[in-house]
Amino acid sequence: MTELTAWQELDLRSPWLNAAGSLGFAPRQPETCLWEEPLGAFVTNPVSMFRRTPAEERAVIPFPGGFLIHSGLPNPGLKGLLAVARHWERVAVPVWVHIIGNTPEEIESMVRVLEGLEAVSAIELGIAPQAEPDLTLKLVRAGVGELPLVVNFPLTDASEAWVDRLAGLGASAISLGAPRGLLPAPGSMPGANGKLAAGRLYGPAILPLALAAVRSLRRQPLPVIASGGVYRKTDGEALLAAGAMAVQLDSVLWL
Amino acid sequence: MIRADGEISKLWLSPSGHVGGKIACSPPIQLTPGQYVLARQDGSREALPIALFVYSDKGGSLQAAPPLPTFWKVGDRLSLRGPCGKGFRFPAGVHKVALAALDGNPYRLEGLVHQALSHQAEVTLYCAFIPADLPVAVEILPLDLLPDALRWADFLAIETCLRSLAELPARLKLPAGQVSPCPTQVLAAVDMPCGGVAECGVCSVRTRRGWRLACLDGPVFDYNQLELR
Repeated sequence: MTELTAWQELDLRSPWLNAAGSLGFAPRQPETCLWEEPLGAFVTNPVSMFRRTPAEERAVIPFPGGFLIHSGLPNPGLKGLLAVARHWERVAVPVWVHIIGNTPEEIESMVRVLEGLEAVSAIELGIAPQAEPDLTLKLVRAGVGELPLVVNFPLTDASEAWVDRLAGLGASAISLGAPRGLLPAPGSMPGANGKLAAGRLYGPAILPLALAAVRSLRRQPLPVIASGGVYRKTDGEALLAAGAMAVQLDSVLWL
Repeated sequence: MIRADGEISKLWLSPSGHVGGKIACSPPIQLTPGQYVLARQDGSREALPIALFVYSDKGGSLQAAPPLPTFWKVGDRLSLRGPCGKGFRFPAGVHKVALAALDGNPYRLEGLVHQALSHQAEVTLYCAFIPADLPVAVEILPLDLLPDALRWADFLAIETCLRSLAELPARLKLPAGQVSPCPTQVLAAVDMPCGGVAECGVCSVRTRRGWRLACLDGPVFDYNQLELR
């Protein structure tokens, strides 16, 4: 029997994908995007088992070289997602559903439902930053099923010891997500008593971190999908040259 | 929704100390007051597109309301996408229009001034800063007189930031939960980094029908639909 390449297994059509959280739950108007390369797959926003409302302290905070965003990952839950799943049939590229969950049971339930949808070609499992290793491995085990599983975690966690065990658990690929950080919250007092906002970091300043993360993962066997700081094609090509199989794009897709 | 090329042809400083500008736009993008376009400087590595509110779009040029980024220069080329969101819906047969900028400069409401005057309506602006080129027909009043507008106006348009939304009933001297006696629309000034593409939820506004995205469902909302807690 011929062994599938990672590209074939993931049904990728080009090395450029959107990152979860960058194009919604179904693409609305991809023709308006300035990024002129075709996307090899469409990755949904993060979806949890149950509906999540926006964070009370949601914010977008710019800093030199990027921005921090804290939204609380609001989403309609798996049931709500199924209502928009009919739009995926009109998408010309494979659909990956990005799932998040706190327990193996939640992840397993979501995977079983998604396996029943013809339009879904892979699952991307989002792992929280600095996740507890045992729980992380249980979540990954629960996510392995009939569909290829891409394990997504913040690129700053690339050196965690559990990363080397993912291939043995049946994961198909690794994708590197936005690093987390802190900035003074809008309107808060400056100085030691000031409140800090936590969130995901995006922007050109992330590119050096992304390159370093890809390099650090060269010795493990799974293909790596990089992201972070890609605003020009040459940025993405640098990540591919460093060893990434594909590159996920984020806020460059917003205009 | 279209993509267009823009070129900054003029920049000016508002009395509140913010920069506004005139942007030549090809092809033209038609906006109603309260709608916005996303803009990014060509060749820049700025991570976030900027939401531009426009108060006039005559002759293929967008008059962009302050504040614009301070690093933009005359002659800079921009990539634009719009129109985005839902703007003010100016009711038919309106004769007395009140506008209120609760948190700063009133330029985002200025498109309504021209719309109201073209309908021969009387216009009163409640604000802390007076725009330099406001038509003389517009009456200016201080913000603390705003509750009076609910008695005499037949349309009230308000701009306020997301963090101040909950204070709106108090600013209008309306009991929380009570509907406005005057048709009132609110522009929720909030960061809308993705212009609706990502549905990221960071611009979410609580309404009586649940959470809504300002970037897609707003940024202009009917006052009576807002859940103001």
